Amino acid sequence: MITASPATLRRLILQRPGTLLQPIQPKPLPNLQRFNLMGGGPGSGCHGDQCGRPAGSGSEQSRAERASATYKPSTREKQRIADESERDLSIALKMDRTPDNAAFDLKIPAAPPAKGVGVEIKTFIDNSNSKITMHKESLARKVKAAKKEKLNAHTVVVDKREPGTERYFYRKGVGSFYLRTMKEVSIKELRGILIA
Amino acid sequence: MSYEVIGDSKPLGQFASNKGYTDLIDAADAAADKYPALQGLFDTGRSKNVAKVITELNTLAATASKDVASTARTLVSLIAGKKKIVISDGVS
Repeated sequence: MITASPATLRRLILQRPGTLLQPIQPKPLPNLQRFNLMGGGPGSGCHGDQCGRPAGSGSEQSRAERASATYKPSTREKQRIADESERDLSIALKMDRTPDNAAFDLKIPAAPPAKGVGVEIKTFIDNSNSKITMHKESLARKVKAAKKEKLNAHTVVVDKREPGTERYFYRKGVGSFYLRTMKEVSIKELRGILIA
Repeated sequence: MSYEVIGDSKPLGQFASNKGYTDLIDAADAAADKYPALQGLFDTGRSKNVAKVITELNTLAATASKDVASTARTLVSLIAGKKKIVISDGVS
C-alpha cells in the first residue's frame, strides 16, 4: 500500500498515460426523428394528424367561453386588499401613488441627472398560480412611459395568501414573471433597492 | 396593480392604475343608487350589461373630477361594442 496526499494522487493519475488524458468519445445521439417532436412525442397523446383538437371542433362561442375562464375577475374585495397593499407600500417607501391610468402604481419623478423610479405592484390574495401576467400592450406602454419619463422600472409582489402574513418579492424591470424568479425582500431592503 | 379590461375574451388594454381604479369606485359609490350596473361590475369584476355600464360611466364622467372622468372615458373607449367584459388585475 502506498500512501499519498490528494495532490500527489491527482498528479500520478493525470500523468498516467491512457487514463484521463484520452479524448472522450461522445455518445451518438438517439435518432430523434422517430419521436415526431412536432407532434408532441411519445406519451403526449399527440401524434401527427391526431394532434390537438380537430379543426372545426367547438363553436366560436365555446372557444370564447374557455378563453374567458382563464381570466380571473378582480372583485371589489380583491381590489380593496390590493389598494391597502399599495397604500402601505406608498407610506413605507415614501413614494407617491399615481392617479387615473398612469403606467406605474408608485412613482418618484426623475430629477436630472438622477433618474426617477416607477414601481408596478401586484398583490397575491387567493392565487393558485404564482405568476403575474402583463399583456404585451401593457408592457409596451410601461416601457414607453419609463423611457419618456426617465424612470427605472421595477416590479414588487405583495404575497398575502397566508392569513396574517405579508411577503414582499422584487424584480427589476416589468413583465410577466413567476414568483420563483423574483427575490424575497424585507421592506427595508426594498427601500434600499428602489431608492438607492 | 394595473387594471386591464377583457372584452369578449380578448384583452383590450389597461384603463387604470390601482389608485385610479380606487378613485373610480369611490366616485361611483358616492352615488351608488345612480350606478347599479357599475356597482355590479365593481362587485364581481365582470358584466354582461355593457351598454348600461357605458351609459353610467358617461354620466359619471360628466360630473366627476378630471382624473376620474379620464379613467371612465378610457374604460368606455375600450369596452364600446363588447358583449361581455371582465376586469383583470393581471394575477391568476
